[in-house]
Amino acid sequence: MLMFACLLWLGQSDADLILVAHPRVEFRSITVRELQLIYLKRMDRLQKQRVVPLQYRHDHPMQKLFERLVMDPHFDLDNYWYEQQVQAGERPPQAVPDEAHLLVYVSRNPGHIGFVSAKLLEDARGLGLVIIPFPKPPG
Amino acid sequence: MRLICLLLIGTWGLGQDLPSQPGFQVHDNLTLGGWFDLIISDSEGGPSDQRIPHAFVYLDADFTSGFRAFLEYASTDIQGQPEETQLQRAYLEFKHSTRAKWRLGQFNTPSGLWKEKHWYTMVDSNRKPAIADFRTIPMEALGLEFSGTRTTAAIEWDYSLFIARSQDKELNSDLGYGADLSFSIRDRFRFGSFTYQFMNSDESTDPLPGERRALLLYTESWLIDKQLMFRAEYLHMDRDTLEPTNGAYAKIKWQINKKTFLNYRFDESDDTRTGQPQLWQGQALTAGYWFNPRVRARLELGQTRHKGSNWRSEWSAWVGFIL
Repeated sequence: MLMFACLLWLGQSDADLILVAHPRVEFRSITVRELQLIYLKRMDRLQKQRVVPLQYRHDHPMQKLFERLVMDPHFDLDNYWYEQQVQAGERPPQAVPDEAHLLVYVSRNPGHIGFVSAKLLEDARGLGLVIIPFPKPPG
Repeated sequence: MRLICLLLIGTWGLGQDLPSQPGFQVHDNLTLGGWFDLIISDSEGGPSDQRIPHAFVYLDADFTSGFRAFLEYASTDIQGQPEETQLQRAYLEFKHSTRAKWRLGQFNTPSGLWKEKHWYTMVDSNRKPAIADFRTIPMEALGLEFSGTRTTAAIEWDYSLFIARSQDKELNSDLGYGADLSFSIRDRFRFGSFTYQFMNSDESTDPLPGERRALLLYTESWLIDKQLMFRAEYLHMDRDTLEPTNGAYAKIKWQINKKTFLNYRFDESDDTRTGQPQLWQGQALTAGYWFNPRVRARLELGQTRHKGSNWRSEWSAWVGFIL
């Protein structure tokens, strides 16, 4: 409980992101393109392992930062998910309210990955999560 | 009354803080959703101020382990004609992964880039291109579909195979089969083809029944930070008892920002609807504004003619709401 409160306090905002993955995940690097495809649910295997993306609610600052770093500048993600749902029944990745929830959720669910502020690196390690460097956007 | 409802929904939709997905979660795994739209058009020498509202309602049950059931009804209300309600889609789906997905039931024929059934809310123009409007490919299929996506570092492959009977009320058919295969390079260039072979033996929907073979080739490019999009589709149809027919369109779209776009399309086709020997031609300039993912509007100036005759103009305004 104390740890959870600390995580909430720590996980406010930071421009540097890291990727966190379930302890049994074997890959240790990822490209921006792969991240894009995984979060658009157009790819669900990486190095033959199942990958399930986890994100924040659409107005969360971390979510906005992630989209700015990973998605193309003119790509409208909200619109993409509206159209995916209506045309193909595909839903967006599950969303959590904050970084503390994300860390705990990823630690308990095999195959899951998410992104948090680099400030939470030690907390993520404490939960046994795999830390993956956030890929540099091209250019 | 329906127009008032549409306006009320639209006004409500404009002021909403949007959820990240459409529809209402009626239960953990059950979503009720839909969309409504309205086209008002005024054409030279045609019916003026014509209003065509459409309403779609769907129920989406997402079970665990990749199983899903989807049911969708549509209603169209054209002035002076009885309101028409029909089943659009009803299928069971099993998704093993993004590489392998099966659908059993009534689904949209997976053909090319133009997705006929949802053109109202998803596309960039008010009038359909001729290759879709002239109903040469059945758009509702009852059968089995296998589809998927495979990705590598630079290339994404999309494939779909199906065996189905047409449920299209204007183009009924016996069992047919088809495939759609496309690949995109770095999300910038897409090339694909679709082929469909089916037998039309229902004389009530077609006075000249026989085997038909459709080949659709398509391409799409996104340039300048994906702000400029070029797309073209070409359809060739072989028919046992008639001359082959051809149709194509090309369009260019400028995505000014996330909400606003301009689109120009030119299309040309053999006129399979009236059988006139001259080519049918159409062009449309469309401005679109997406207030948010839920509320959309388009204004269009379209022109059509048979080659060699004068252009006939049509203004149309469209507004759509996704629930």
